[in-house]
Amino acid sequence: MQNTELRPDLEFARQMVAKLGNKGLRPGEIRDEMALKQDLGIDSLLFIRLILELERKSSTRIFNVQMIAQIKTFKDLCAAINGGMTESKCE
Amino acid sequence: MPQEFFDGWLQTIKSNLPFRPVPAQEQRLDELLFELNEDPECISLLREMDAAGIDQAVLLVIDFGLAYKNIELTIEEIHLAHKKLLDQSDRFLAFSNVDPRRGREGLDLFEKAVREWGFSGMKLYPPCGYSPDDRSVFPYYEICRELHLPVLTHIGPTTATLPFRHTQPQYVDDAAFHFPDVNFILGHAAVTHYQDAALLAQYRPNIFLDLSGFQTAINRDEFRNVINWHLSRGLGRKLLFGSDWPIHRFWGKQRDWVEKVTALEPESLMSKEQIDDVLGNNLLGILPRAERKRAKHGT
Repeated sequence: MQNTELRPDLEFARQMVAKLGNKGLRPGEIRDEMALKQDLGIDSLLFIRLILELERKSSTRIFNVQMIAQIKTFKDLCAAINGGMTESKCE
Repeated sequence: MPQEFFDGWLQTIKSNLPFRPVPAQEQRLDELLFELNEDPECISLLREMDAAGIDQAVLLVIDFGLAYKNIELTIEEIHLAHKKLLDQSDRFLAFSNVDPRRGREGLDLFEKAVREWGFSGMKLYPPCGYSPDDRSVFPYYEICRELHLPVLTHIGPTTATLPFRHTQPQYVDDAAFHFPDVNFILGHAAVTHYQDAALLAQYRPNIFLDLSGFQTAINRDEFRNVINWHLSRGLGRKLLFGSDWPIHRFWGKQRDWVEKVTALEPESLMSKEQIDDVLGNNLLGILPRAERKRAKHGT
């Protein structure tokens, strides 16, 4: 899915996922429904780095334990950044 | 959880990160991991058990009182905190742990816990500085034999601030040999030192393997291979589901962990009967009869 007019924080998330993942995907190739681990190659330790980098970039505390445990897909990650685990699109 | 235990755990996690966190990130990671362990009334656990269809969970006391200084609660107070949870809900079972170096007083506390306070098994934590085959533990095993209580002993590495000596499966063998009527559960040993543990479980009828910590095997894509290893050795009735709450809360919820096991059926790795055994029946078979309540799934 190609998104236009991306929010800077979600665009940064997309770039970080592409950078950290071991699947060789470009940011634009990341789709909402992709699983962070299986599809994007973000293992458990890289996931820690991902959330720390996202919080550092935003200078805010985005995540909590309850939320983190529910993040399975890129879409879930975007929803967490948006402030909850409700339905959300990554744009 | 004692601060020193927590500090060692943090050190280990940070040393394994594939990047060098800046100080602010280290501090943030500390906060998140501390939050992970904050559920003293088991409210979050119960909520997750409901969502996962888990009827009952076994809570484990660990006596850190001789291994660390500055423990806030006495070992008796820790037992009473667990007793309070047992009194409040039939969703919990609890295993007692008293460091065997506490002498007669410690043995009396253990006996009170299992005879009067409703504890239904014994936990051992050898990283605190003793071995499961130490003769000082044998009087505890005598009580377990009399009351048909299982013994769950930790296997494998733990926090960096405790020694790993005596955490290999082999240290359970002498106890299991001398107490053939006591069932020994090797905590994490379906996934840690699992080849040695499987050999013991294969040849000692009273040795069982707990799956807790299998989340790490899932993260490494090793879970199917590990399960295959055990099933190919006829250990389907020796495997016990466990989630190691709250350690792996970062990576998923209780429902996720149950689903990882139930998913083995459509993947043709385990039958429905085997999965039911792993999720509850195997444990129910070794609990004292009075504790075999209506539980189907344990953790």
